[in-house]
Amino acid sequence: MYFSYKNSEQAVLSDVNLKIDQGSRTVLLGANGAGKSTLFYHFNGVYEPSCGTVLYNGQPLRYRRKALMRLRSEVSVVLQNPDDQIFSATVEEDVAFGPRNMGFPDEEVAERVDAALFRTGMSDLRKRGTLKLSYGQRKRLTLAGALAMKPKVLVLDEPTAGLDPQMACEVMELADLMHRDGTAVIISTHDADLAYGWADAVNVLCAGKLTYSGDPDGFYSDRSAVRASCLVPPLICSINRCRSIISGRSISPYPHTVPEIVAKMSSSAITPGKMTIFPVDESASPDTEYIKKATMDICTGVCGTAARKAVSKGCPAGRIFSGTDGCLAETVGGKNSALLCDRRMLPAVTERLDRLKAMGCAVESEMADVRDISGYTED
Amino acid sequence: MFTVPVSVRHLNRRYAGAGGRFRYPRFYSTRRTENIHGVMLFSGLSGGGVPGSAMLIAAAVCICTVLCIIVYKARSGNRDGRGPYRKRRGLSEQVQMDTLAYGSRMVGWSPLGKLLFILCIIITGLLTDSILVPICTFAIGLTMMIYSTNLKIPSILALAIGESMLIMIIGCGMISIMGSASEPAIWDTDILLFHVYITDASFNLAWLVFMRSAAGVTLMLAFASSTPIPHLSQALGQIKVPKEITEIIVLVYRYSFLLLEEMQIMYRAADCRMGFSGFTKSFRTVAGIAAGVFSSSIDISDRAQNALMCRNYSGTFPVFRSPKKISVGWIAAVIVSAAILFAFGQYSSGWINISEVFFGGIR
Repeated sequence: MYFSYKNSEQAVLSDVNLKIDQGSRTVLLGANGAGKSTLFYHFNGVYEPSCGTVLYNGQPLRYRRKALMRLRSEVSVVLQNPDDQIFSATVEEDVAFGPRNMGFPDEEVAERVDAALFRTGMSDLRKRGTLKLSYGQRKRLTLAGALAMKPKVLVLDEPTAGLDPQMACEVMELADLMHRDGTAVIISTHDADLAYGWADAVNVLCAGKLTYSGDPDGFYSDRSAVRASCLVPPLICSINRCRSIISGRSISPYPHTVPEIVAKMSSSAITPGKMTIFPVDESASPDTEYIKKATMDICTGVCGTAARKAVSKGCPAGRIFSGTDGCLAETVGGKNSALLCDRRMLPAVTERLDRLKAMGCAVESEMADVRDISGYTED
Repeated sequence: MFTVPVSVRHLNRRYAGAGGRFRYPRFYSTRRTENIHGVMLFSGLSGGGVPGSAMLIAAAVCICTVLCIIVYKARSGNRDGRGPYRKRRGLSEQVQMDTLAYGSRMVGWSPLGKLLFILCIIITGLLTDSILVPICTFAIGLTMMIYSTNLKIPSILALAIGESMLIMIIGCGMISIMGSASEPAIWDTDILLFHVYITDASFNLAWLVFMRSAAGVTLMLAFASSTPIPHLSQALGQIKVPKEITEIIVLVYRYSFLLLEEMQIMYRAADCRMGFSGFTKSFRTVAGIAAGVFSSSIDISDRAQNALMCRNYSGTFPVFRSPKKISVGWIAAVIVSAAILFAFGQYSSGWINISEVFFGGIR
């Protein structure tokens, strides 16, 4: 596929040939001006290639009004600058913008708005003016707007740019949640650590050309390719490489997160602790007293919106963000930990535990019995 | 899911157009001030007929604009410590207006009903010669405004009211002192460069114009402070105002403030780089900012179009919680109010002679 802007000879994208699988987690890496955003606009038909074809579900995109409306209902793009994408005066009005354009009845729109606001933790701000929101809240609002459209493909352009670590972590958690629901999530970023820890597949754009498409380990193993793409390798990747040179051990398996590299480095030197997982439902409030007693004197972490909501209702939490990694790192280090986890995020935690096992550290985990005491009452 | 194979298919269009590209207007204005000026001119011209009054009002507008700049500068403070651009002025104005409109006790009323009611009683006030009708409509407008805002008037509205009052006072003052020479004067004197020639008719006319203008301002502000722009747009759509116009209203409202914010960022950046350290440099900087804002507007319009397309915008700005539609009750209330006011105007014509109240003793 090739693309150049009107009245310009220079191709912004040239010889781009990539495939994105359904339900995958894909990262598009590239320096500034590499053409990431331009490529994204091809995914939902905002731009049409000068030469080449974009296929969706095996069918070439049709650039007719109705076909585009259908496509954009399924492929949602969240832009880098939230101000570009916020059109309405209040939070709920803005979230309803997409579903309303899709022509849903009032009840359906209200339901989608409620769900999207809950997931992004913005239920309390639904009546607030959009211009009164902080940058992080505006970013979450744009994400809520996209979630309300229930897309099959979610494209996030620099979702963590300009966000503080907590907010960045929450955004990535949401992206992960969408992935768990079967949505293909595509993000563009410069953050090598984030890309390495999160993605199943990496595509690298350099000056409008696709220079790599495949798994993250394959790309970051080739240091010259990383440098040629004006990128830096993730810290964990570099540490793993150095450790492999020093110890003479194999570089694989590749750890992607802090707990994984700790697990790989500690190997069998330390007996790992036990991780207790407290599943939390979106629609219920757990017994906070029970959790408090059960988690006394151990490291606690939070994962997911429902769990975060439970914390606001009084559940204990040591690590409000990056809770899974924090708890796993503690557990690998030989201590016990407790994770308050959104039930929908449980597969993600299980996946992490499996990866730790692959690193040679089998962490014992148990699912706690959490009694529901009442339904949530939305503030 | 997505496959982008290289092929030799040439496609003519570069952009996917859902009905073609649509450029957004790039100028700023606020509906509130437009309304105020609109009512002012309407009232002045209809009630006037005084030769040269339009020119005088135009002069008054110029004076007021200068005064507004002075007020703005005074409000902004100075450039040291307290800083002139400390407050994100454009942003906060929109926030103020939106907060006011969404928080108004009249926000649940039918926007079309409100608009029809206000327009009808303004027009009724213009159709009658009695000053008592504009006084009544002014009272209605003031009551509605107080009820709508709960007396929490944001600074932008206060400034708008102040500005409009100033224009009205100057304009009506000029009407009153420029009486017809064929009529006997009730006060004839020279003050500085002005020849003051107040006649009975000119003085009464000035008061009539003033009261009509004041009534118009209060009524329109009551409407503006209780109707969010998307509601207004939808209401206009209900009376078959072309979609292009109603959409432009919403988009201009949204993007004018973004442009204003962009301009303020440039202003601050220029100030940080000593752009205002001298008269000539200031001129150069302001010219640069003006050019920058213009090119920014093109960029913003491009990005906005893409963003709107990403969210399936199809030419109609949707509203989540739709405002109430106009009901028969509203229409009845409008007709009855207008009829009562008109009848009262016909009946009370000539009851009050303002010049007698002020100059009775002199005469």
